[in-house]
Amino acid sequence: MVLRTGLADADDHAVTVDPSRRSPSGVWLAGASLAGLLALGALVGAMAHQRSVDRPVGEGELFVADAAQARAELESNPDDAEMAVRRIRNLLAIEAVALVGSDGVIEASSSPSQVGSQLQNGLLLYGQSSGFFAAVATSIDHEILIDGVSEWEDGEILYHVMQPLDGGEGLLLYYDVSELLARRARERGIQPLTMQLVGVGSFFVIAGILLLIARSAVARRIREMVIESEFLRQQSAELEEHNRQLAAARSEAERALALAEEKNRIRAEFVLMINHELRTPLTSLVTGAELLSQFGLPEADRVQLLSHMVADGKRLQEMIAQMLTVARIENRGLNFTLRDVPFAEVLADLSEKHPRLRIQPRPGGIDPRSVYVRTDPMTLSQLVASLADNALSHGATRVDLVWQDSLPFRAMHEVGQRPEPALFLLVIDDGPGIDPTFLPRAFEKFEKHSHSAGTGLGLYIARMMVDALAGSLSVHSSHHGTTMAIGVPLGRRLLVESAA
Amino acid sequence: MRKLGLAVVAALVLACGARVEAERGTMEVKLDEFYIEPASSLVGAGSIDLELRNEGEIPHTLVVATNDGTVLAASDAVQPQAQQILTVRLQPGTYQLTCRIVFRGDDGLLVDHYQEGMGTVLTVEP
Repeated sequence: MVLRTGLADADDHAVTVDPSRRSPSGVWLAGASLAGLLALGALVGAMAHQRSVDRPVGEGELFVADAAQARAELESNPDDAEMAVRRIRNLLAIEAVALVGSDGVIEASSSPSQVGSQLQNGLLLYGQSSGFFAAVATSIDHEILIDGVSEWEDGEILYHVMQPLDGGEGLLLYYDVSELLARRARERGIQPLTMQLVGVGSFFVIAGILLLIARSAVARRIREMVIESEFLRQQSAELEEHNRQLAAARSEAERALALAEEKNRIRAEFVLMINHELRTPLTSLVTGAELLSQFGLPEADRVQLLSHMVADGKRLQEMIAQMLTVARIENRGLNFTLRDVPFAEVLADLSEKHPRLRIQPRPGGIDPRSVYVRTDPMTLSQLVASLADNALSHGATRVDLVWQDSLPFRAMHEVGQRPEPALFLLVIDDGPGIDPTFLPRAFEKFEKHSHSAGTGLGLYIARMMVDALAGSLSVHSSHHGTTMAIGVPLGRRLLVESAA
Repeated sequence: MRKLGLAVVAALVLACGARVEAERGTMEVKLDEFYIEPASSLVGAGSIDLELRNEGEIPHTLVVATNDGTVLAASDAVQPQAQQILTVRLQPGTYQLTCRIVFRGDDGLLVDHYQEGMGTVLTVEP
């Protein structure tokens, strides 16, 4: 997900945020869920409690329990019914208690005015005579006295509870209906426990909401911190990238400066070389020509002078030819196609064009007639000849050419890409060797050792030829001589024949 | 304009549906196992004759009490298929109409008529 930071300068910086890092701990949600469950439980409990309170509850259970207690009290004192009913009334704290005979006449009562009267209510009489417990709220037949004072007048409504007794008698209990109903009414309505449970549920609801709000706030803050952190990290990465690019540019500039300085040095040396190498033979030629123009020069001196002039002219020709060669190769490259050539053909060409090169086949070595090399024979011949001439011009007295299928030494310096498989042509001289510190620059353009009389182009041309021939040139040098090993790709024709 | 007012009043009266005010002074109340069904749950204040009609198979009674439990009137036990008139004077408010009979027959089960469902609310308007 891509989010925009709230930072003013962040419009161009889309910050990628790992979603897993934006989620705060599930403890918040767990806490809110727990609070919700507790709130739900409390509210359900409150509803259940209130429903149980609101359900209709009659007085039947109370009457049955009181009647049983009254009957037990009466049976504990069977000889004095008057006393028993008064004690029962006091015990139960009700309006009146009467003992009804089997004929429906009240035999004893806590209210003496009732004694001797006939019970009129059919339901109560039916219950008494049938032995069924019965209760009904209805008007009384006679006034009721409590402690000699008239409390209930005839026609007022009381609960009449008939508890049948053995022998057809009945125990009649009188209750104040209004008092019973008022007590039930007080027990109804919203109960304290209901309110307490609702309060607890509300508390947990509020707690859950607060937890969710807090979680939202914390999550938002964490998200903002993550975004800011990501933004700063990306800014840091961009700064590091800019620093790296600056360092690279600086390195490139330094390298370009060094290259420019190197070119200036080469150009200066080239001017010096032209000044020395070209002007010297030119001066010699001019001086020789002036001498020849004078009369009386002995014949022997004249011949020697002409010989020197010819040598200087050839030297100038060679230098100019090398410079033209370099210019041609650099401008147009070497234009030829590599092909499979019998190695013997290359050797024959070398033997013919470069008689001072001593071709030395080794006993038991590779037969040149059985080997094909993939090369341009003319260029390869020129390369070998160039290396041989370079050696002879730098103090060598002899140059040998041998060949083998592996490099016989550890190269002190190498140019080109060593082919595989390859045939190595070793140009071995007995010269004074190449200064090891000069070797890394020996194949560069116009590079030459301070004592060298060359143009500084011979080995540079050799390197370009090696590159064009897809070969390599490995150098090993010491005070006893130098070995240049030309790596030439073996011809495919030989490989095919070998495989066959 | 006056006709329009009368029409609106008539429409409101008709819209009351089941809560049609009973005829002032008399209202039938059915008693049965185990419910109490007055002809209307809404009556006007004043003296009213409640015509109790027991359509059940056992005796029932009717007790009229205020919500705080004060008993205003109570009938005698009304025998099955019998009728009885209970006269009561009611002030505006709500009242509880209940049957207050508890009986345990030969099956041994204690039957409290109110607890079984014989209770309803009567609203009295000015």
